[in-house]
Amino acid sequence: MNETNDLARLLRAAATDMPDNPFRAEEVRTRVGQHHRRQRRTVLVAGLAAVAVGAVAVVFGLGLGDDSGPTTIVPAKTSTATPPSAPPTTTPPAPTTTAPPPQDGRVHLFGGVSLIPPKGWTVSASGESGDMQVCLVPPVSQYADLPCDGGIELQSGSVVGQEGAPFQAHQPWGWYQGSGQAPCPTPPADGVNGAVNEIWPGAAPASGDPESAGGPSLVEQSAWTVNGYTGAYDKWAAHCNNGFTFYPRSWYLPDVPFQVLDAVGHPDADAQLLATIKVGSDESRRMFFDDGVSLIPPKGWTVLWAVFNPRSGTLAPHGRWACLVPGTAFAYRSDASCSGILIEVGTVTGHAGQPFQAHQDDGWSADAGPVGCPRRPPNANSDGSDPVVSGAPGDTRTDVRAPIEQGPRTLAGQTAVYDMWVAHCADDDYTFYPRSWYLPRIPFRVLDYSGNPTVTDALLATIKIS
Amino acid sequence: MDDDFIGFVRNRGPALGRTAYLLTGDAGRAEDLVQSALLAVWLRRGKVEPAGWEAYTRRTMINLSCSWWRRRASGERPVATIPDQPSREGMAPTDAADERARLVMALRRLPARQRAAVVLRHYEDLSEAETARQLGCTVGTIKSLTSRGLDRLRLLMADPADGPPPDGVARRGPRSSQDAYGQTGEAR
Repeated sequence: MNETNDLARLLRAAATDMPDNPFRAEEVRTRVGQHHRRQRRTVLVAGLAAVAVGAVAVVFGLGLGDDSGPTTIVPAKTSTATPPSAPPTTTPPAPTTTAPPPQDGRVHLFGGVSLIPPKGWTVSASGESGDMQVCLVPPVSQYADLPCDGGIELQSGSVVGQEGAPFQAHQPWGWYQGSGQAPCPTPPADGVNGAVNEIWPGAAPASGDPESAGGPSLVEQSAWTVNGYTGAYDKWAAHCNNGFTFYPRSWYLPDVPFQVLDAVGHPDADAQLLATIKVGSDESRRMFFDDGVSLIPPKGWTVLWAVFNPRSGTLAPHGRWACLVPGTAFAYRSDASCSGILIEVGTVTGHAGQPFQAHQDDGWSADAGPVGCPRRPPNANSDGSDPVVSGAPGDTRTDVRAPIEQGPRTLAGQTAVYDMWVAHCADDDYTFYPRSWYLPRIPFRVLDYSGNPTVTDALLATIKIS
Repeated sequence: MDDDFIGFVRNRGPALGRTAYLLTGDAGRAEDLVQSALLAVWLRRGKVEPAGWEAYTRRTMINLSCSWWRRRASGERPVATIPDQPSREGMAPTDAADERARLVMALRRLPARQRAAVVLRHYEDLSEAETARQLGCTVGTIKSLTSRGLDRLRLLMADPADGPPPDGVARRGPRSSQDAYGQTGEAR
């Protein structure tokens, strides 16, 4: 106990070493101004692009205004009053994938999914990425403290489920993305502000004791089909300490992945919304990066695609990094680095944070890139670090960190530098082969950390560089 | 910005800055973290009541400090051994400044979520349940993160210049990055 108290004392003392900044308010005000200017520039750029597309359409008779085109992608924010905060340096999507906000209010999400919000509802981005997490908020919300003000949450490209894990169909508590004490959508029975009104699985038990067993958590499950895509429907029951029972519902398409999550229950709105959902072609899932690079992520893989820009204080556009991980892999982004396929454009990081160079020793092991064993061994270290060691077990090469295979490869019609290394997990000798395709001219790299040869080869075939 | 928000920044900014300093271990990054979080709050001021500004700012700071995307974008580079560590040789163990410096350097060598858990539990005095809510994980994970973080802090404080790797594996190649951020697959 004394040792803990000493630590608390020392932490308080150390914190005082932070110098005060008397100009903090002014500097934040400057950031606000920069943010607004960037938004205005983006609107201008988007407007000019729309005008250009319109002009092309008029000349070539392409017929703008048809919202049914499955290859149209408009970030959700563009369809609403708040435009995305992408700086103008980002290469905009190819003209054929840009369109002015459609007249019917159709919202286009990442992954080629589009839908029309229920009448009277408003649209707002709920997460870091404007077209991957979108909130539909009812005109009047009884549950404003809940995510999406108690409305409907749309997730596309990355669907979070129970306790932050990737969502899977029929997952127990799959509707609850947080963890710890879950706040109930209604106030505590005694009305005391701040009291915890916890949520329990199942409908409220007849005994009146909220902690005794209620009904089952997952009360309905079935298949759900839309546009030829087969997904899953789930309905859960949950109740609060105060006896309030509610029924979260989810409609999930693993191939995108995409989810409609109605945590509290808006049956009429759900029906309106579901009837309008369209899923575009594979091409409509194309992701656009800086410098003209684009690709189509593997079906069903989770896309982690948000970069914080410390200079502007905002999230940078989807232009420079993306991490693609299998849909059921651990994808919690706080500590997990990219355990799947890492895409880097503009800056390619090599070993230990150094700039990547062709055929670099341990060039697959970047600073904040892939770390840790790609397959958690059964006898994993208690600290969870699951160390990785260069080379194969018993590797007799002089330099076990050097690539075991290298040479030119064709990537999007250009000659890329290819490297393959070998490494293994110290705990169980699990051996894996990171592979890298690198175009120094851009620079651009695809790094398959844990070895997904079939998927990676398919991904490479979709890459375009304009 | 309106006067209320400016007043909030001026009144609560120093305290937020101190927390940010422990979360980042660097005054420059701490200032950037605070300002980034304040900007996020300002942009959502329509949805966050003034009474909730501070809590929202703190939550945002924690999320941002744990984001590897952000650490990467800000140029934060994990290294096996933090440079410019004050030598313990010839220094009195009671030197308060040295002790503080060693603590901050040791904090910097913790994985981000371990660091955040230790700061929230032992600097902010949050309960395990509240810390779990802030970090978006279970109470069990908080117990684990805090316990591992404290164990590692003790080791690093005892021998900051050459703290042993956490798993007993000699540093080579990839270990340099894992030492700082290599926490994957943590229990949830």
